[in-house]
Amino acid sequence: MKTRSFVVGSILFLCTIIAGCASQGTNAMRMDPGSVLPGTSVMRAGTPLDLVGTPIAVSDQLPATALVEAGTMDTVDLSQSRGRVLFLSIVPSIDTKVCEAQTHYLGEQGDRLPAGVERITISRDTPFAQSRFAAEAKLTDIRFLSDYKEGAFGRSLGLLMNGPRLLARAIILVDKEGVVRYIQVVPEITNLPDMEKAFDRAIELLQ
Amino acid sequence: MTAITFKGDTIHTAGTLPAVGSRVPAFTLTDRDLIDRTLADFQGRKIVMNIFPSIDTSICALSVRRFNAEAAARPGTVILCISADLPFAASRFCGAEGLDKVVTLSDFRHKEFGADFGVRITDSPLAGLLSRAVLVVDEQGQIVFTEQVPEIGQEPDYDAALAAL
Repeated sequence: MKTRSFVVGSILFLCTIIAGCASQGTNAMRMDPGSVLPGTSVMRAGTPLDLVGTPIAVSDQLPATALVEAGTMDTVDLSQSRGRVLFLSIVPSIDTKVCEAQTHYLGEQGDRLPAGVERITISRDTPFAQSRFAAEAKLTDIRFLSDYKEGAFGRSLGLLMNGPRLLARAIILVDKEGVVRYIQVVPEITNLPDMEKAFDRAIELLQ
Repeated sequence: MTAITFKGDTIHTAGTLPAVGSRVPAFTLTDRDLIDRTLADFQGRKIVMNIFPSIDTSICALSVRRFNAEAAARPGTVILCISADLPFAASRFCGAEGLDKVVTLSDFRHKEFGADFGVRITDSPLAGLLSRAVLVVDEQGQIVFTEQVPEIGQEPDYDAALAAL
């Protein structure tokens, strides 16, 4: 645990330097082991936000929805994916500090994941914003998919925050047959998900 | 429906721009602080609506820089830069470049904007984004200039828009 905190701290510190946002204390961010159910509600700095859409549950098939691939602008339907474990890192916006930290963690600490695990960041940022972020952050091992149009992906999982109309912070793992096997919806969206636990589960799903 | 081009290929928008001489349609869009703003918040001043696909592309960025400089010279005019970018992207861009004279607005919560102004792109990989267009509105809310830029990769006619102010 101590090692992990040190690693997180180091990464956040680096992010702070890179992004030049000295105003945000790194100790403000923590990994939250808790989870709420899709379709219920999350908190943002103490204010509740309802999650709208059709709630996804463990052992459901990932529903068919269209996302847009950053870089190519191709339409992607993740429900058609087979043969790899999908590690979906869902964030409100890559241009905010916690999401940036989560995405760096996925791209850097996530290098311990075997090649059979596909790391994917999903947000409502435009594909252009995602491409710019990926290039500046040098995160080349993560796919970036955008739900900019209507938030249809978020709705299909019960993860669209009513009010802000952004995606809630969550990790979803999908097995090689397209079945959802793990869901963490972070109860307070200013906290990070438990990335290490999700990494461990992703490795298990590959076996 | 209006035909425009994207890198030479024909693409389409959901409608046509409101006509010169008509009243500007009401709208709700979200500002950099995630607060919803409406037409009423800006009325009574001259308004330039600089509409584009994404601030994270070079031509859009150029237009925001140019209009920011023009806004600084025209205190009675408000310049709205409108796109599907999340407010965080607009903050990052304008913050990094010190562009504090323009108001950035996003349609990410209010997709009816693209239909009401006839600027939502309906096909091609850019579907769902806003086309590149400029509207100028006078103090009484009457539209005095419009330009639907014919090619997405081309800058708007700044001089023509500014001459209408």
